[in-house]
Amino acid sequence: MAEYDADVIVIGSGSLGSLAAQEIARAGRSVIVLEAGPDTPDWKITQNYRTSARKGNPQAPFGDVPYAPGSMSPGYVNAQMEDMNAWPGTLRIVGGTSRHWTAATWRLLPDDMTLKSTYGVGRDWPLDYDELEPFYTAAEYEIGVNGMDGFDESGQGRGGTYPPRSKPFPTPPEAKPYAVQRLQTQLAPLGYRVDIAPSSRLSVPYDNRPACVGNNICNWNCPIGAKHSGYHVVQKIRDLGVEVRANAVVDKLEKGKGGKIVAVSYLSPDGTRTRLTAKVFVVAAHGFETPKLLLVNDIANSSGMVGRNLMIHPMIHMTWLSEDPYWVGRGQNIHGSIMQRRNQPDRDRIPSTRYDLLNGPHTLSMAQSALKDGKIGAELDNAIRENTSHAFTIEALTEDLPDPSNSVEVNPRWRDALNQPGITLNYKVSDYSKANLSRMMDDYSNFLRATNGKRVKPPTTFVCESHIMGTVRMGKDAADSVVDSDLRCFDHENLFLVTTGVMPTSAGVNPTLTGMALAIRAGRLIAAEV
Amino acid sequence: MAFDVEFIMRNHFSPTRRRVLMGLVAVAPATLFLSSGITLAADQASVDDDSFLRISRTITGTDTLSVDTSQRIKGLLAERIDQFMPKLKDLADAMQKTGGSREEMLAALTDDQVDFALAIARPWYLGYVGTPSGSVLKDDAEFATFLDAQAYAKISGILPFLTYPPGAAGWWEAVPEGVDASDLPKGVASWDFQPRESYEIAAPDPAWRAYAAGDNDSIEAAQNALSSASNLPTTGSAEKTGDQ
Repeated sequence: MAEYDADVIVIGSGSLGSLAAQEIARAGRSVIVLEAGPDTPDWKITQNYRTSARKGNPQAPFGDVPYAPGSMSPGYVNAQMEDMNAWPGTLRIVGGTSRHWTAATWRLLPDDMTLKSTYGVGRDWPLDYDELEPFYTAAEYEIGVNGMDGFDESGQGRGGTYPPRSKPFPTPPEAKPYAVQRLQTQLAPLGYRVDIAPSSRLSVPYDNRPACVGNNICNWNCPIGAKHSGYHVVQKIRDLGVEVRANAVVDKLEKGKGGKIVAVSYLSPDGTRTRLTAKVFVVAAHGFETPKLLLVNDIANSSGMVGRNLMIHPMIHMTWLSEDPYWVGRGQNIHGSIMQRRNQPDRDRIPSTRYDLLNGPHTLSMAQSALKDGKIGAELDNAIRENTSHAFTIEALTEDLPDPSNSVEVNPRWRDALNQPGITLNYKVSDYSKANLSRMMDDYSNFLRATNGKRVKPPTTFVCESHIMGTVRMGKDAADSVVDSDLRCFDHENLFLVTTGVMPTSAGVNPTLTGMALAIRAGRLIAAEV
Repeated sequence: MAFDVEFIMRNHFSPTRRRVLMGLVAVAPATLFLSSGITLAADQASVDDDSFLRISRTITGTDTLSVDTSQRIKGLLAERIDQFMPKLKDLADAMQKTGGSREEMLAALTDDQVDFALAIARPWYLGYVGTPSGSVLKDDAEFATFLDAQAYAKISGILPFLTYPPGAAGWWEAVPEGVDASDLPKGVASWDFQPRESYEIAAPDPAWRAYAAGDNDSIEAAQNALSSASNLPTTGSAEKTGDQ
């Protein structure tokens, strides 16, 4: 009889957990992946979307199971939000929340990882860009990122590829929608530079996945697999012999001698409990469920930082009607961005910001608005056509700073079908993030002016991205950090946390590619150890 | 005449294939609305279905609405609108009385009739009834249709129904039908293209900034407000300052 059920047990089957599992399995180690949610195929999600009354809700096609609630399940999140009435959407499903990401794959800049020493705010990371760069490359080649070399992603006009890359993008740039072509020429006279937004939606067939054909439901789940999701990695690790168990709600981590983790146990939907042992354990349950599991089990928290420093990228968007038609909605959900506010010299006071040129169609919202105004008949048809064709939305993703009072906590007052607790979120938009408001309004007014546009409503309301960072942060010091630069818990040498929750600062870009790079790095390290 | 909605609902939700096919053949297009001779009667379920479909065709201006979708929407609305059948009959009578084109029939409706017509239009255009949530998975919304949803259908030649793209990778690069792009510079479709060699962001225009921030409802109002402010006599301000 084997001494352990597996060499490594990974809790969470999303992109990050699956990529770590893949590295470990490729090295010939045995791996079991435990996923709380169901195994629902892509075709079913597409069908659910088509028959959903909630086409504006990216969570809806994935459903809601009573034994593994997500952050948008009624009552699961007790949100104590200040200056914002929104919180990140998460999925508990095989493949994880990456199944409904937009697929934006920005790298961090070197300065993003040295925020304290460069700008005097936030924290420095315990590793630098050069150390992470090979793993960014590995992640990009794993998921097939499309992009363009020769462009300064910092927005500071360096005149070449930046940040530095050891290899070119694995796939060529995707086609540029007419809407972006038009807006680019409108904004240039006022000094705004539009560039491609790299993404993991394939521009050409790659790794047995087809090229994107513009289904335009990236945020709901790509119907054809042109957009990377954790579900693709799950299929690959199954081929490597990894056992992926769905509907396995892990609620216990057992501590043994010397602080080592000796076992996990999980509940099945019928309440049956199963206990598993391994040499190494990886918790990869994104930035909410990871700290929740640690807090419930009083694990890894000698620093008191588990669940603290929640960062979710405050965001304000503006929709306007230009005098020129764009027909936004042809292509994918995002193609282009404006990066000039990403890393300006005054970042000690004003946060990094990126403007995304959103490319989801405005059809439904414009029809809703026209019907609300009482339009009917030809007047209604004309309003839908005119407003849908002339609308554009840009969103401003704003950098967060770590603040211990912004947190995710266990909420024992709410229980799911397996008697597991809910979570409480405490979050206040920081003064640092708010310092962006004046400059952002300058830019939004310029966008209106450049397009002779009519805004739909003033861009003054914060919402957030579904980016969860900081809640199990990495650092050099066990006194103020949960994991080290290898994602190993300071308190438990055989416990690793593979989640964007380890990011000590948020930067001004989507965190997932960085999380993938860290996951691959940790996976290789674990494979070498076991 | 009173209508037994429950009776009608029970008898409408399981259409036989024959009835559906008969409906497809029998229901006249919207342009023939007047000559169709609407009759609404509780004991003539198929006539009620036909009437709802005819009214829906008139409201949407679309002759190709499906019978199945029409029955589903009628059922959803009957569950949610008080006095649905009498209101449907009233609307049918009004449209029949007016006759003429779609716009003439709609223009002749009373305010109450327009409200009811809008209630019918909403699921046909939006594809749902109720108010769907964009975040927490709890609301009163129900699915009505996707491929019959007129908001998408009216512009489907330019914006495809989501998940039904019209071509291979890259089709979105082309200029949309009916758009004049003759002024765009050559090469703009490439990501290598940049309109300028270097970029310096312009300072905001005060009027546009005030408009963006919501200080004014239009750019014209913002410009007028700033113009008025700049024309104020400066001595007044100075005196006021001096008084403080």
